Amino acid sequence: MQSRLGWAVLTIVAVLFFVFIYAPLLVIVVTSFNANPVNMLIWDGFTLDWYRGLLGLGERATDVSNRALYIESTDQLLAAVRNSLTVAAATTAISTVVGTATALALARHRFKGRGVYSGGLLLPMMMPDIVLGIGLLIFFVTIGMQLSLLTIIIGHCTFLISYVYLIVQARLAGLDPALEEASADLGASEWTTFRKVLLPQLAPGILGGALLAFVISMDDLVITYFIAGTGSTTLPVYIFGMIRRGVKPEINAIATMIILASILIAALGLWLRSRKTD
Amino acid sequence: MIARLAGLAFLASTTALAAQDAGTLALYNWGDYINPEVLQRFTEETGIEVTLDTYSSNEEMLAKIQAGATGYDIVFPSVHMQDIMLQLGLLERTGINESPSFANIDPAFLRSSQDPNGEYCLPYAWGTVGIYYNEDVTGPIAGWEDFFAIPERTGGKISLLDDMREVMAIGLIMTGASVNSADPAEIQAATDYILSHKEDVTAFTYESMALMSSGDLAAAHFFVGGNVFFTETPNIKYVIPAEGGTMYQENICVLASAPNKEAAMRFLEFYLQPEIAALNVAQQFNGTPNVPANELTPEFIQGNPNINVPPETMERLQIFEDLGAALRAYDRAWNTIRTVQ
Repeated sequence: MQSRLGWAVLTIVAVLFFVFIYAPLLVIVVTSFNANPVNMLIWDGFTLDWYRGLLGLGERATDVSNRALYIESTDQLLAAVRNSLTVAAATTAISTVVGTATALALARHRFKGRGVYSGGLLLPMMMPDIVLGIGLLIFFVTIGMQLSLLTIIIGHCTFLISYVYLIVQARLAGLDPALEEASADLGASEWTTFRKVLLPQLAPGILGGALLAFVISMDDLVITYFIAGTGSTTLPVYIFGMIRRGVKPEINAIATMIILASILIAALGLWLRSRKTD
Repeated sequence: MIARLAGLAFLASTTALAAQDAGTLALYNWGDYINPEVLQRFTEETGIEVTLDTYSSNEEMLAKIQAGATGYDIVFPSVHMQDIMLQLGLLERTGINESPSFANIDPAFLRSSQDPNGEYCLPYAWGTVGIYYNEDVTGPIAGWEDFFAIPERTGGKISLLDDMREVMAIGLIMTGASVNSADPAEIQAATDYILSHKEDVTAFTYESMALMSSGDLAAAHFFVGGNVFFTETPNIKYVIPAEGGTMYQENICVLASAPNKEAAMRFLEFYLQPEIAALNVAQQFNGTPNVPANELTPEFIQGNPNINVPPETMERLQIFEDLGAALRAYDRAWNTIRTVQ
């Protein structure tokens, strides 16, 4: 009896959990097809105009612009998306490589200051965003570096390396060092051991770290705001700036496409993993 | 190697030339606060490429500029923020008031106490904050007293802005004080006024325009720019409260650190043209200090005395000033208003 009650409670909690996680996403997907240009909560008919506009296909929403209600700034929005993707791709590549290398160095080698170093790595993660943002801004200004996309990439790397490091390091801790020793005993060079023994075992951790870095970089607002230069407004900064006028319908279309891309990437990751274990 | 170097040098010289030909201009503005067509026209006329970055509050912009962020040429601070920036030496003297077209600007909009003659900044745009109401539900509404009576009289829901200064301003206006009062007794009286009506207020929100058009709200406290949603719904009206309301004004200022001062100057001159100011109003639905521009705006805006405000209405509008130390008292009052049950 008691366990049945327990199951019921667990089921309800689990269902609610998924509703709260996925209902907002569903709402965004549905409203991205809503023809109403100013009020996304009122269904005005089905349209693909927002997608067409974003993809630059044909005339976008002609009747809408006639109504003069709708603020045409799709180009700005697209520029913001482009900036966000550029930053996220670059930071993911850099922080994944550096974070993984750091985790390896700290796990497999003993050197002076190792403890301080590994502690220092976690600091950027724990620091409030606003402190890091202003700190980075003052730093860039002091060394005379012009703010641009590059400063955003550098800024993001400072804390994303810590995330990647943490995830890869957790994976490393669970590995059996005997495998590497065996590989060395059998005459493999350090590089071969890394490629053939270490890397395949670490791959899920590295992939997880890279995905996390990409996602955090994509949606960072506070730090990015401070270190963005002219013409380098990213998507979150852009959306936040629209607060007084309300959110544009294209935002839903962009969000839907990002959700779709995330599902595809996650599916690919899962598929790769399942293939590995077979 | 030499060929590659020569190629690089050539590339560098051509880009430098191109930049010299036309130049660039970096605007730093509130989100969605300028008609993209205005920028397009500027580029077509001058060949100067414009980049536009956005912020969502004066304080955010100040924090960034004050910390030394460079690259921006033009910012759009509110009047009280312009005063602060002038005192901090962040703005460049432009002498825009010596331009012949400066005569287009109504001198009443030279509001900055630090820049009373417009030697630094050009008045950009202004607007009011008032009441939107659904006349089918509420009947005619003249001001705050009618507004707060709506829930009891008709059962309709009302909302206020989620903004400390704007909400406190209602209390201060209704108790006969200045919206910039630093007197603790007046602040207390204003707080009490809002608290006495708090149970009638359904929400403190910026999202009220969507709720107005869906019929979920009977009336809402919002910026004049919200009229953009209601050009084809005659039952939803906007009114500047009879007891008094607030207004905002932003000015176009050139930063002392601007890399493209010449281009910035040309933008100020460009914006003095009545057609350009009117083009901006047509999309933004707010007021312009450019007098001849008011003749050129669309009929919906020109014919509506609550948007195209006559001088006698201007007299009951107040503008926010920097509060200084009194800000703390406002913060406390606002916390009480938002948290009290």
